[in-house]
Amino acid sequence: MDLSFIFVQIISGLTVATFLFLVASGLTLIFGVVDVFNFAHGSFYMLGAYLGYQIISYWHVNFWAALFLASIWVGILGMAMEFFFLRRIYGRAEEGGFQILLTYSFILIIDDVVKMIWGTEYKTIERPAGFSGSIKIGSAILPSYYLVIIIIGLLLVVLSWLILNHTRPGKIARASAIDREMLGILGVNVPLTMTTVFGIATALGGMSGILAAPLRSVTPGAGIEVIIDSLIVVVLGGMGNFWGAWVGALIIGEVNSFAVAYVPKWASLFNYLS
Amino acid sequence: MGRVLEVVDINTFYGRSHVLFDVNLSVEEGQTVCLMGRNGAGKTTTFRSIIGLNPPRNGDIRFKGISCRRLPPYKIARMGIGFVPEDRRILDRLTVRENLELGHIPGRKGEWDLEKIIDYFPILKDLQDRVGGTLSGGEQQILAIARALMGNPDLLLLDEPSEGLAPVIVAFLKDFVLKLKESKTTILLSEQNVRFASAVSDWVVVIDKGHVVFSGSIDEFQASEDVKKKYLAV
Repeated sequence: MDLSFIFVQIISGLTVATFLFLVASGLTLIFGVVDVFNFAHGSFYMLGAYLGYQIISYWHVNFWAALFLASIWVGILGMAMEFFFLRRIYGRAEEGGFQILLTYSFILIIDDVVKMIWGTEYKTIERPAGFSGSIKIGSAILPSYYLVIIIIGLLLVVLSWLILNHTRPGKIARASAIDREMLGILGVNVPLTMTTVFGIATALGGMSGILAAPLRSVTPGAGIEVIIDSLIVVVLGGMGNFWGAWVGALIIGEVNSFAVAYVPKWASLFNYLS
Repeated sequence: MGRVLEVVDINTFYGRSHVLFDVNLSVEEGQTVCLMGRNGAGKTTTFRSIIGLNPPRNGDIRFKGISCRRLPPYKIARMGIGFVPEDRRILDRLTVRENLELGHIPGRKGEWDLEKIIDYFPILKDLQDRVGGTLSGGEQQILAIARALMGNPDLLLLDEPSEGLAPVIVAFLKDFVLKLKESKTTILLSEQNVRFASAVSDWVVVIDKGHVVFSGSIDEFQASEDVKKKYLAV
């Protein structure tokens, strides 16, 4: 066992962690701000991947344009889900039960819609031009796309920190996790805030779906796999805790990566153990 | 001097229970009106009706001549009503400065901004970076009032500002409300503390079991021993 092997495992763990964080951060943001546990969040991840596939293979635009477009579309669908459905159950006595029913039914609906449109066979998205090869760092060889993912993840972490702590919309988002009624009294349009946060969070989910597509294949059912992993991350980091989700994702990503390297048979178990 | 607020024959319910019965009151520009009554008399409900948290089932509420009975709280706040709730509702995981910043309503102009607020309440200067939840009750009350002023309201609603505070802080608040009065701020406050109310108010409305039982100038109120005895715990 040499150092470069460990380095490669760390980087590959970071890549996994970045995906997990991108999905889980949206999930935890929705939970913290909107107070909804959105089981369908993973389905938006899957939808992002399919939309990305559609845009690239039929319109022949490049990967980055597809990433941008598909994220926005998924965000708009998320806003529609919040505006037309979730908004009707806020504050009801049975809200918790309705949330599970409603968001779970969205998993089934989105899964079936995806199967109707794209069928059940695997789809693939090529790595973006210029990032299909590997690069050598010392004696370690790494897929360059891994580094792209990690850099995008870090940029998003920094951007989120800036927005949440240093802009009015960010402060409003944090405040609505504390006391929505008071925020309304202070003149903030809280329903609009809820819809916007929901849209941004689902767009993040969709974006991670496309980013992940070149590494994993695009399949129906991907949404459920991803929601379970993100749930572990979110619980590990504290429900609704944005930065906790980052730490949670790092732990799961690294543990997973080293477990796959050393005890591949038992790797999936380690997610639950950690 | 125009009427800033008119509450006309409102009836408010919590679910099926009828809480306010044909409540009437009005506040003139620059005036300080005090709503008095025992616990559970309907003071907070009146405020919640005005700000839109518990809209009345009928009757009307007009602010600067415009009916706001059917508007959501954020629109009423943007029209220029600042509300300091009884329980202060400080955003406890945000800093004092962030609480103040969120009190600012984009598009509403006026004399208050962060700088002037800090000048006016020097105590907040040293607390700026503290998290709201770590403040004492008195500090929270001052922050809640300062936060409402950040929105440059045309009418300030103060729900039992002196409740549960140490006498020295109540004295500070009294001076502060008097200072606001001098600067022609229009205030509707609720109180159980007769001395506090007498010191700051121009007009007194007494409410009991959801009915208005007295409405008159501060001098008339002072002279009505029976009203004080019957409806207030003096």
